Amino acid sequence: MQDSKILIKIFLIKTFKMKVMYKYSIFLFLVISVSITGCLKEQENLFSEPAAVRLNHTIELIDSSLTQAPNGWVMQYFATSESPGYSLLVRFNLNGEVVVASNSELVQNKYTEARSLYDVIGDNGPVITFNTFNDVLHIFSNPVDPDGTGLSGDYEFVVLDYSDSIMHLKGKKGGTDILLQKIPEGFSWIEYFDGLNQMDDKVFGDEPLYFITGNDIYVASNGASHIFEMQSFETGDVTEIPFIVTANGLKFYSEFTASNDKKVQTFYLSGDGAKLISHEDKNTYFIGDNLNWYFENSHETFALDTNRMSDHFRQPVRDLCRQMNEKYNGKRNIDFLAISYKAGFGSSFYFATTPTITIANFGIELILDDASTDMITIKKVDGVYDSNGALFISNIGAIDAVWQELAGTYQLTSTLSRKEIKFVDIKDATRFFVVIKK
Amino acid sequence: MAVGGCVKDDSFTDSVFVDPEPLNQSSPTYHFDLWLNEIFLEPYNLSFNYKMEDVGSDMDYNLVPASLEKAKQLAQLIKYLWFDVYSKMVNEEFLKKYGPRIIHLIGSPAYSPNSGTILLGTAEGGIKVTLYNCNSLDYTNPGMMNEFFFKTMHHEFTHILHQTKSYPKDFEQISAGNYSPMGWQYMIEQDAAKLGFVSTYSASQAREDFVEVIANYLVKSDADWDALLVMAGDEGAAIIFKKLSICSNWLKEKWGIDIVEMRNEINARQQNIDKDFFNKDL
Repeated sequence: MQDSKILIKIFLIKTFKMKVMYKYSIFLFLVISVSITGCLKEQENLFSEPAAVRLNHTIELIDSSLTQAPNGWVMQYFATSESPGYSLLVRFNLNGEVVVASNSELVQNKYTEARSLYDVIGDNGPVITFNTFNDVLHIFSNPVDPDGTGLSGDYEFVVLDYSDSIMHLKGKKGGTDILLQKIPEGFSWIEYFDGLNQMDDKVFGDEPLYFITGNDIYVASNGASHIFEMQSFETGDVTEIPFIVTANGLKFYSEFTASNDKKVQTFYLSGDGAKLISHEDKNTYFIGDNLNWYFENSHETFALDTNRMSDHFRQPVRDLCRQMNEKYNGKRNIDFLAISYKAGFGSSFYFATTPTITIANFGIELILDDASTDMITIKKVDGVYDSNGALFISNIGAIDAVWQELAGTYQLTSTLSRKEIKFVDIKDATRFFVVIKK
Repeated sequence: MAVGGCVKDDSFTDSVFVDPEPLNQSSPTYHFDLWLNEIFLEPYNLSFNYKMEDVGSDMDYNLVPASLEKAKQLAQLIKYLWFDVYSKMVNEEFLKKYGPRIIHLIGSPAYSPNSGTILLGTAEGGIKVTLYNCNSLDYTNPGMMNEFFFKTMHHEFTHILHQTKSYPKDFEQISAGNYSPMGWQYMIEQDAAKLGFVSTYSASQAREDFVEVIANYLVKSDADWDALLVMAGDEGAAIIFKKLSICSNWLKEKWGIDIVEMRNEINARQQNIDKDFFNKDL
């Protein structure tokens, strides 16, 4: 009896298992059936044309866009993600010829054009290839050193996306991001590079800049190399940021996360040239040291630009030049006049002569009333000059006139590079002069 | 279906370069391309690839394309100092049959920083010859041209020839034991010569030695060849002569080429290379 109960129980369990298996079997059958049906069903065409045809069509469109830019394209070229950026101007001609121009230290800072061939090919996607040597473009990829690496740049570029005015490219071997932007007609290429060089001159000098983003401050050094060394004021950590100079300012190779989590990459120079402001976040910008503090403490030699000064200064300077020429029969003509600093002497009004080289210093005092106002006072220190100064001042009356004229309180203006500083008298705005850092 | 696709009857053309694209008359290279077709493609079934084909080059190296100017010069020199020589000294059919089907020009050398060497040329399966460092071509410097280009051409072409008709095994015994596939780059020329090698690269392996003997003998001037023998000393020179003898016999018996006559022809032609040699209309 007990056994039969057990047998019945086993039977019921088996029956239950069989039902479950049966249900699963039906389910599996349905799944397989649907899958097989799915497999057997004809693949729906997502695209109207085969891949090769679509690639060829894309290649034609890209080639057409490239050649329909009569004034060419600006190529924002970075050899690697750690290299400085260079602007190349590129014109693609219908006959397969390409003209590439540059003006950088890589071409001895001279405007240089080179012609070669290009093609748009299908190679894991559309690729622009510069397939004969171009003296300007292939500088970046020529393996000239024994390591066989050179600058590690590319000359074949995968086209990631494109339009008639902008193309995003990626170096085929190095993977560096590169941008092509159409140049409006009417722009001269030489003037375009002149504009970039002027931007460089306005922004980068020997002094570091300060990168301000919200409450965070970084010291941005080595800007002239086009790779900022950004050192955090707070942590001391240093980050290298490659960038390219643009017509309006500069652009980082990649986005930088500002303190407010905004991504910043492009910067424009303010109208007065004193600030580089992020397009993406107006609270993120570059500035320089206070101008009057810099002028007093840099101890550099700043030559007076005799073409950019008011008559208040021009007349006594002319008199000085004439008197020196006459007195020394052309042997000690004024080479340049400057405001300078000499160790052991202090700040001075200074001039140098040519062809006989002589330097003379006459004492001045620089006074900062308020370091935050960019104002400075120049005072003549009577009776203080070096030995050469003593010889000259007894013979040349105009020295004292220039020395005296420099005295005054001035508002200073300059661009970030501090290469030129304009002095405007705060009491008489018509009274001004400009100095250029030697 | 796959099998059916394979057995489908295709009608092959005579050229491996089926239906080459028509030339673009507005192209700045139209005249050059036309010349290449007439000089190389049609008679020799040879594609002269002066435009860099990255996929056709060794991706392990950083390379740049050849300049158009150097490509034009080199194409004319290859015709005059290689193809025309074989055509005259053997017959017109020789290079049509045994010559490469592709010549690929690369502008830069292929540097191997680990070994400190640079690659000057390669021959792949008797089909393709790649010439590197073309942007350094200086036709006013015969020594440089020989070292970097013509020696390389004859070197690579001799590889093609011995891959078709093997060279005598006796050759491999002459310097057996002195070959150093990994160490040759650390050898200096004089030490190599004293061991009976015409170049340091000869010391890498026997088949390289074999083609180097022929290539060096063909392109070196009498003065340079004699200087090599002096550097080798009596013992080294004897080995070099022994190798040259085997190479000469092999060329004569297998290919009907008199190496001395061919060398004289090449040397004579090299005297004609100056700025007026090149066709300015290309």
